[in-house]
Amino acid sequence: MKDHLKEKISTIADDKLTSKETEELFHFIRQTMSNNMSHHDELFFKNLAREMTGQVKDLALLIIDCKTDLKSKIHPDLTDIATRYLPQTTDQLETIIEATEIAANKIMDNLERMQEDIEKMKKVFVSLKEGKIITAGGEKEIDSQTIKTISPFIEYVESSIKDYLSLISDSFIQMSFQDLTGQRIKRIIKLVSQMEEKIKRMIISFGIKLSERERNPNISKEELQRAVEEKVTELAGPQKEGQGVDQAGIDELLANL
Amino acid sequence: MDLGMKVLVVDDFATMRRIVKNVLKQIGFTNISEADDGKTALKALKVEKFDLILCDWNMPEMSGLEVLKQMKSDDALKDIPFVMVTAEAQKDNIIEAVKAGVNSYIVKPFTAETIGEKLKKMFGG
Repeated sequence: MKDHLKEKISTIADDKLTSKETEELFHFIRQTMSNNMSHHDELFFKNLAREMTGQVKDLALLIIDCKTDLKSKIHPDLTDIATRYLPQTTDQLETIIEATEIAANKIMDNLERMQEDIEKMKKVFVSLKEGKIITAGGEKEIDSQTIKTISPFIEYVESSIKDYLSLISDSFIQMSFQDLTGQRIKRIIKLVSQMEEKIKRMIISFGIKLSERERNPNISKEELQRAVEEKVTELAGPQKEGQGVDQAGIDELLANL
Repeated sequence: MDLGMKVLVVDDFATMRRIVKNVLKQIGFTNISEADDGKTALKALKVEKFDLILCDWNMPEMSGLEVLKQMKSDDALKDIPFVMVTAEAQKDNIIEAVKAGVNSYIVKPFTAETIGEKLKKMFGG
């Protein structure tokens, strides 16, 4: 502004003033202007400046509040869900599958043993019907009269054996619940894991975009996206496929918010 | 039905393999092998001669349907009877399996009688 005024003076004076004279005239005019600003005007401009400062400050506070609000929205709820509750959920669901498998196998061990024992008993009664009995001393013959006498008992036992074997076989098949529940639980685990990854990715995206923009307000949308992708790759690191970001990475990003 | 035939039971759940094996033993089968996924099953089928395969549908990496399709496209394996034992009970799934060449389809949960009847129907007696 100073140079502009001097230029004006030179133009008006038709370049007939020396540099020193132009400088003196400039200072005289400036002094005159400031002296001519009335107290009223001075107050007006002071108030205007104060108002502008206040508005800028309010705007700054609004931005800070927004970031704080954003952090409070992300950090306690979503972060906990993404980094603690969802992984805990998948761990617990996997534990359920393991526990039911162990229980089902123990039950089947017992059922198989019962089957084997009952099959042995069945053989004994088949032998009895044929007139033979197995003793500590070896196989012995039974007379026909004895066979006739014990025949109803043998038939009753054989019928019961058949029923028990059927019950055991049915109980065995009921253990297939472990397969059916396991398949459904695996689907839920897959869904929960996908949710976990999406939420973590959202946190990364928010954190990176806010911090990069703070560093460089003119950063483009493409550069922001590139920064997000680079961070995702960096945080994922040399992990197994499907495993995402760890807690430390998330915390670092949130510290930027 | 030759109860001495070589049977392959394929399922990614060990519990289910054990159940199917038990049912087959109750029917009288004596020569039963297991595989815990489709790829292992195909490897076993190429190494040993099997007479029957009972296979689950939903398995990681390679589904039972994919195993069936690969068997049907292999001259050495295409004639091995294939029974799908699965929880997939939708009509579309059954149609898809039939189109792929499945010999029988058993829905979980099943009974020992169901398996026995299906196998008798396939092999007679």
